[in-house]
Amino acid sequence: MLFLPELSVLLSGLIFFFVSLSRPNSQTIRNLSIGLAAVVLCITATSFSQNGSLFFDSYRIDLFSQLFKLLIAAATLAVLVFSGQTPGIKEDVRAEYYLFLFMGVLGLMMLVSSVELLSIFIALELSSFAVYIMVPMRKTASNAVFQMESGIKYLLFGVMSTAFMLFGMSYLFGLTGSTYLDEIATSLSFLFNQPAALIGMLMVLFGFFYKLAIFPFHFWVPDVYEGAANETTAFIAAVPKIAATALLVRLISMVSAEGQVIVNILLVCSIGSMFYGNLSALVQKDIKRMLGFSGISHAGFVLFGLLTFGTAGYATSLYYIMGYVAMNLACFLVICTVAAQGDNLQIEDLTGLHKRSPFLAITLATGLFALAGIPPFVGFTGKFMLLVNAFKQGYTIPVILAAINTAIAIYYYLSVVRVAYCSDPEKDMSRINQPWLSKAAATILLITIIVMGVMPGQFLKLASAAVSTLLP
Amino acid sequence: MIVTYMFFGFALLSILGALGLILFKHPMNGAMSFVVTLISLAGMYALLSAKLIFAIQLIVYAGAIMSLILFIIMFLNIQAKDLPDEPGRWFYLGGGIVVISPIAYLLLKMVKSLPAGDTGIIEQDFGGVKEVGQLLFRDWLLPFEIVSILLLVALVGAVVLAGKRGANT
Repeated sequence: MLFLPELSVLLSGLIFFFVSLSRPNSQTIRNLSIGLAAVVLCITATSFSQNGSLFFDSYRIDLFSQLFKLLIAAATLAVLVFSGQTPGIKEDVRAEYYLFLFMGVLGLMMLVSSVELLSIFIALELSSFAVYIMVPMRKTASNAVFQMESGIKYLLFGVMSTAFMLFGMSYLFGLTGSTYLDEIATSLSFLFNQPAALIGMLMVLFGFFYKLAIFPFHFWVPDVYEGAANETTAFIAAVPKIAATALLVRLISMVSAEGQVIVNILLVCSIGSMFYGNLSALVQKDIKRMLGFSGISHAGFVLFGLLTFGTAGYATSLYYIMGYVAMNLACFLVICTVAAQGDNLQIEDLTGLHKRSPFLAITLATGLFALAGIPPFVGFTGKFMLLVNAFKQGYTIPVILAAINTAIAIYYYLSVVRVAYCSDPEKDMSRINQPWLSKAAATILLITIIVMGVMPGQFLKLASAAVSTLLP
Repeated sequence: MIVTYMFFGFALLSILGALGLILFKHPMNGAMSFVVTLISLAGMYALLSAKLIFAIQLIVYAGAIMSLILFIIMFLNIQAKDLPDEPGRWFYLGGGIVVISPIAYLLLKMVKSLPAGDTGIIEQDFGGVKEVGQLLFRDWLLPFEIVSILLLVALVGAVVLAGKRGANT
């Protein structure tokens, strides 16, 4: 029973494998995918409070892992619901597309439960390979035809960072003689000022920095976001980041604040990604590229929260990534619905959105306001608590730099809102039809963004409870 | 003593092979120098008394996979005129070396600080088929099982990507 969520995802993937052998129409495939994702979400929710370990203790099921699995399942369902008939994907490979999507989700779910280096590595590979293949499956008829290029870029950068991670793992294994995270943590507490342990640990972290797109490992983000189909981008921008944060929390909790060198390096990465992401986002014309760069800066914030080393800091980071996923999905929902043919959207394509579809415009505005960190939405509460926590720990200058970044970010988010609301379309544009399921998803995302922002107490309590299962 | 010299020999060979892989212009030369790397890695496994891994490395990597790659390269029939022109190649290589050198310095420092490990004699049966099998199917059961799904993904992915060209024309 402990393994039920993973088994249900695996089964869903295999169902799509068999579906792909015949030629079903895309409506059937779409209904099937939403149904299966809903079943997965229900099963994950019912196994929420389970506890235990499997496979010779290399796989742990606790509140931490179950919370992340629930998030992953919910985000996947949201992506599937609003991606409609997946207009951006080639017609003849839609069943295979869902096969890869579910296998990627399986890898991510296994990733958050694995507490052993080899399992972590293989689960990460499974999730990455599935997503690498999803990128070039975009339809060639769309206005951007460099999906192959972005797929190759994604693959090459991914393989490079995986190689870093594997090298680092070999160092950790060589120094501690174990691949279990618990035993490594015990041994590392004597070793963490050794350069070898430092480099090993950093290289393992870099593998996850790549997934989360943190500063020196962010190069794939803009091209992959632009080259992949809208629904694939929505998936890449939300779901793998949840799992990467989980693993970062697991790994960083092994390092204590006394390892000053590692803290400094991570601090530079965090502030670097904030500045890089925000400054580059200022000049973007393509909205997916802009959201990609904003994702880099948000990843910097998540890492910043982890650096406070304590339950409060980890819990805030966890809360932040939950909120980030909700806000990001709200923005991608609008992108996927507006681009009915699966084309890339320029920011000016959103001109006069409030006339074409008032509800979509509200969704977009809420998502962007939240990303910019304007109260009462979740982005504000998350950033506020992150900065307060860090300030209490004495990181004064980094906190000031992060606050400057929040100010920079407001400009580019709000200029999109301005385009959507304050300018009229030059050419006559038709209203946008939004299916009821997508409306429901948008409503739920909006409620999540507002409720998490106004009443963060319960969510933070849950996050702290989850994090405290990790800390001794 | 001789083991140490052999280790350095294999290490040097594998690095040279890897250098050849990235520096040779023609893919065939690159592939052949990669074989050198693979074989010297097999030698290192043998020095570690990992019998099974040594055999697998030779048979699967140096044997099967490399012959597949060589076969494909020959199949493509790459001539000198097909090779890309890389004017800034040495410039980029030099720039890369400059960028990487601080990291290399850190790594060198790290290698110096490594504690001298005791090279004890390992058990009699280390590295045999049975021992590796027991490790694989007991301690590392989960990774072993996930690999099967990973292979399924890779297989279907290869078919999907390769089927592309036929569908378009």
